[in-house]
Amino acid sequence: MPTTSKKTWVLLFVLGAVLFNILLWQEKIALNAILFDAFLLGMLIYLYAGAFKKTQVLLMLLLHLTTAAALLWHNTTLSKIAFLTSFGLLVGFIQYKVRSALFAAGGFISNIILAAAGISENVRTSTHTNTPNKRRGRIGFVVLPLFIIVVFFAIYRSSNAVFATYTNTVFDRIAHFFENFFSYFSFGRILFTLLGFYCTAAILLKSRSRATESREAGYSDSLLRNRHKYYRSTGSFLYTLSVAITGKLAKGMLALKNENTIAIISLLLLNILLLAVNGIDVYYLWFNFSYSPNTDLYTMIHEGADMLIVSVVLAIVVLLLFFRGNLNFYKNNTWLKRLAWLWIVQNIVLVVSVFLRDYYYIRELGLAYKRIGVLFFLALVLVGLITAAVKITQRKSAYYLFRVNTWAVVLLLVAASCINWDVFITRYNIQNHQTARLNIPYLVTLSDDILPEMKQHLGLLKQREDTLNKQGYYVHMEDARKKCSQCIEETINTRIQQYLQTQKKYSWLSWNRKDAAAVNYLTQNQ
Amino acid sequence: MSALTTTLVLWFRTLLINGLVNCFIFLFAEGIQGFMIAFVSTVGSLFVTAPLLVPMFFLLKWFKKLPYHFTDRAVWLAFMLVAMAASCILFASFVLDGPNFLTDEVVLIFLFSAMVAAALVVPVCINRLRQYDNF
Repeated sequence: MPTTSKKTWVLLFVLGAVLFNILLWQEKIALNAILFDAFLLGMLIYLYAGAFKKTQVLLMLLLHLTTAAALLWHNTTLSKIAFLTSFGLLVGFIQYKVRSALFAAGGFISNIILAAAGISENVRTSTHTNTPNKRRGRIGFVVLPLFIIVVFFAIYRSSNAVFATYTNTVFDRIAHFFENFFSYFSFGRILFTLLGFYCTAAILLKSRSRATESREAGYSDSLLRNRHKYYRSTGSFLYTLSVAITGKLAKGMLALKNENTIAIISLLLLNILLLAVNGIDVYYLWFNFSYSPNTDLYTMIHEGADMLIVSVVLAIVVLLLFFRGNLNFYKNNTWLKRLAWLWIVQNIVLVVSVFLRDYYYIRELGLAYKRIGVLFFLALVLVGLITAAVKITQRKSAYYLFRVNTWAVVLLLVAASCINWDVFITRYNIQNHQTARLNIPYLVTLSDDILPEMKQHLGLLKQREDTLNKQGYYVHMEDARKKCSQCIEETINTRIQQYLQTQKKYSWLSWNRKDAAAVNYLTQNQ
Repeated sequence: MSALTTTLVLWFRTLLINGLVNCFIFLFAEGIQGFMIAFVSTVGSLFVTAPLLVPMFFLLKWFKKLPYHFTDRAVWLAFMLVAMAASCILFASFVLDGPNFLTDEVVLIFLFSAMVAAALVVPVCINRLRQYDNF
């Protein structure tokens, strides 16, 4: 814990609030966020210098700086989410002794929730006087008379017209004063400054809660053998469930042996079942797939891939159930381990099959967010399967699996933030329009980031619109009943005008490379 | 003083303060008629806000466990109550009025009075909270 005086803390919060107000009020999250981030990072380095020796902190700092660069370069919604998430995680890692990204997030969330108590603690101890109690006592004399006066004042005002006229003049003057006051200091801006104060406190001030640290301290990467001659009830849900299903087999001296037998039978049957499914997939999808217009790609992907992904996740859960305890140390578990390995390899084959389904879909119909999302999900599932294999071989705990996989999620989020997906999708779909059908109505739903690309390829888009119109499809954006033949040009031009108007509202604080380049291109090619 | 009784006391007094603030405001804005409307709406809020007893109960449970001085925990409780009251009114107004709900004057009055009531109820009930804390 830093040895900073209470008054310095309060000063830091005020400084943070002022900067938050100046930099971020009615601006986009861009260069201003980087400046505010630099202030907060500087303060964190000053306050928690010792934490910057930890590997997790340095790695998270590197990831956060990557997202900051992505924010300034691409300024996409995803880059903003990644920037804020990585910052929250960095704060968690700096302030709490944790190893997992999820526990770091827990620490940061506890900071946010308890910031009010932390602020109060610092303000109270930095301005410690006895006057408030006396003042509260004096206020007590005035409350009731004030209430009675207000009630009677309102009654007389509504019953006496002359009295009402006089009082209205006074009220008008008061209202006028407040109108003038709020024209200089907007109410919204005052609230925004208070938000800045709270955010700065939540980021800089470590909460007193040790719940996340103490909980994580109880977990270890390696499994520990729990020796007992008889299998006794641990009271856990899993034990109760296994007794309910297998009865006597889950109890007594032979419980572990019985569990091993059950696990071997289950994995053997599951492997045989998956072998059949994989055999079909490898034959038809890997080596003999040819697209014809009759192929129902939509069903193949949306129903097939979704269920297959669920099955791979369930496969990891099944392995976790079997290898949760002493079965890892059972001397006759060789066949169980072999079958588990086979099960993992087969699931990797299944992942490749799902990938191929997605690949064929992209090849025939172009890129879209959900199709890219499937690829990311498959990457995570693959990491999950590999870590499950490591867990079985090296007798690692479920916590290890959980810790490594949350890091994988963070890495993937940071990597994904480095690409402007809207532009990537548009470019890919336009470049491959001869092999994959160009879906203009979908492209139009993407953000304003794609406007320069759309403007550049307007001729091609109009051509495609003509073809769609001949087939009876119309590119209608705002009015679904509208059947115009040049909707795409009209829509793009309208959106460009609106985009340029919006950009004019922002100052240099909202600068980012993407908008600067887009404004430059669109103004030159209007 | 158990968590449940303290929750009930806090909830009832919040409604009472909220009702008083509403009556004041509507008395000035609409006269006696407005006062009556505010009074009836206060009685109605007894039923409408009853589900909020559940989150309030858990807030009080956490209040006791937080590793802070009593005063700081009281400030935290007041802050959480204000945040809860504001988010409930904003959510309800958003559902009923749509995206432009903040332009509605009545919504702003209700929002203001609920936030004031939630902030004031903690100092008003400070002795009861102290009893609950030592229970």
